[in-house]
Amino acid sequence: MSGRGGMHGNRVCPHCLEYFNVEECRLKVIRGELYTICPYCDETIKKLKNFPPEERERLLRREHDFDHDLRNLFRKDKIEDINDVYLKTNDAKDYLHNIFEGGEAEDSLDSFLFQKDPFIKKLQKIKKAEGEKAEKEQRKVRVEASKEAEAERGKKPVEMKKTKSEKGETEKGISTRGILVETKEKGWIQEISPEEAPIRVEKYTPEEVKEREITEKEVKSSDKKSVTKSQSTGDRTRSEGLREEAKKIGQWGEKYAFRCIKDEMMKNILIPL
Amino acid sequence: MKDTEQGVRLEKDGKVIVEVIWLNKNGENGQHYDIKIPENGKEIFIEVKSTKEYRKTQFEVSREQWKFLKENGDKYYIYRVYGARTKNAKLEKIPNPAKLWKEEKIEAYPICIVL
Repeated sequence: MSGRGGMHGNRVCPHCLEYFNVEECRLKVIRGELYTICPYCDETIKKLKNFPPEERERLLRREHDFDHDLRNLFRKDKIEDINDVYLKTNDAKDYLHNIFEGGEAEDSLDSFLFQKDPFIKKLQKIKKAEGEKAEKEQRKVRVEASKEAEAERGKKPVEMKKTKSEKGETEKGISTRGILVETKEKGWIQEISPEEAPIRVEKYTPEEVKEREITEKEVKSSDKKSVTKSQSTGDRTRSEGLREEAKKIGQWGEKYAFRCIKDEMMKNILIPL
Repeated sequence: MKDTEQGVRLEKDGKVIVEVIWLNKNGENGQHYDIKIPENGKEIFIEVKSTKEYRKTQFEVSREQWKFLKENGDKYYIYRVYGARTKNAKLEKIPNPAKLWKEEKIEAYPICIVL
């Protein structure tokens, strides 16, 4: 039998009797099952599972690669949305294109994935739930922010959003004023304002330092640690973010120190430094 | 006690008893110290060094600050703030760091190279 393209391909379409190559065909997904579309008559030909064993094995291997690839990407949190599937699953790109971009798929890619792999299904559910939770949080923060802005406009005192830890402190009777809203910012956030931090002043005792050995590890790590804003010749390679945080810490420290001095002034009238 | 534009002032009968000038109150000043207290004709200089850690980590001192603290001896203080931005913050006063350094009670690790 010869097709329109000559003796070409490894399968014969039962409808138009043309030869075609299964791997070059568009595929169709119906209720989670794969079908081949004849490139000549566009008829749905056979379910994948009815293909000859060696062919089926080859296709399933390809399927497996696709699933494996996708699964890894999900695991590594590289898939943000469905577009990422197209962008990042290079091995599966053509495969997906055949199925979904060909306009033949009755199922969506989502539903296809759902049916393909329970693991992916589970991940998607988790991601969806996480997304909803994050959205809810963001909405909450936006509402808080707008309330805050309204209060600011009305010159009303503002009570900032309380974090879990702050709630604990409130129960103990410590004011939460000046405590920052929990942010997505990585690293350390302000727990208390310098105006509210309890005053603790000690005199330096050199002996403690003398007895202490500064290890090489500490020397190295201290280079990366936050220092006050006062350093002007600090490590220039330090990232902007770290510098910004160091600056905030420095400003906080200055305010706190200033408050400690004021407190001493109140107590002693003259400052015994 | 009266808050001023630059800090705080303690007055009695219209006479200034003590004044604290916080140089960076309204933004970074670029001086070799953060707080100045004029007292009895002399001045006390305070440099605040803060870390969020509670332990005695090292802190950096610029070349200019180092020079200034040596020049000013007992007029210069380092106020070391541990646990900055936490409710467990603590301030430690280090008087005359230059003297402490000379007496080998504190150590300094120079890293600046000039060619």
